[in-house]
Amino acid sequence: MKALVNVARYHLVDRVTYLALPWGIMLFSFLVNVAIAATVPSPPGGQYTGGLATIYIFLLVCGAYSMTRSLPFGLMLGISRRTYYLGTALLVAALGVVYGLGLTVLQAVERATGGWGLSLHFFRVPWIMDGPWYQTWLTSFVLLVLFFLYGMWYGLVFRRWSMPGLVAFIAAQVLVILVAVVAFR
Amino acid sequence: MTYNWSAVWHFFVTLTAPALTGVLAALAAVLGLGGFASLRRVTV
Repeated sequence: MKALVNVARYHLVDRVTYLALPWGIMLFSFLVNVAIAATVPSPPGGQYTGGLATIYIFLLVCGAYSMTRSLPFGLMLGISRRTYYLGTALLVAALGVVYGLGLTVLQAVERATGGWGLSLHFFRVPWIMDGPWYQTWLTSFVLLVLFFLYGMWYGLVFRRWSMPGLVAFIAAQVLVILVAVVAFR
Repeated sequence: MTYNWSAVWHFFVTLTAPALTGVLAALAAVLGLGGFASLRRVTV
């Protein structure tokens, strides 16, 4: 367990990438949406934006980063691949719990202030994150972890097969979706 | 012309929010375990 914690701490040496940028980019997105909501007349029911996606997408980038930039040096430090992966998974789970809680708190503030006084629903996503606080927390956690792991896959494929493999990986996903749509039509 | 897109989409729109969270959690588990199994093949 200590080795896994050490791997998580190794990642957190880069605090900017894992701690500052996800929230910083989401804050920027939030401020842009506030500016838009303040200048555009609000439709009935308030304005729903997709700006919250920024934190999830950036965690996908973090996942890819953890496999492309941090892995080689980690292995040079003597960490086994297994320990590296499990330690990274531990970090993902911890980030998911904390960040999910943060998003839940911000959603509660948004509800309490009537959408920041502008009827803006930035942290409140219809259907998927529109229920009680614990459901928002759980869904946020699952989505954050899912996006990070999905990003790790991109990093893994890139490390193993480089750019041609990455392009083939994306093309394969498109084909799988296409086959699923056609097969279950 | 109608756009009866697919049963895949229909499956997702008929899910409740907690059920969708469950589906996403299952997908995350698959990605996590698959990544663990694949990492051994990664070259540095």
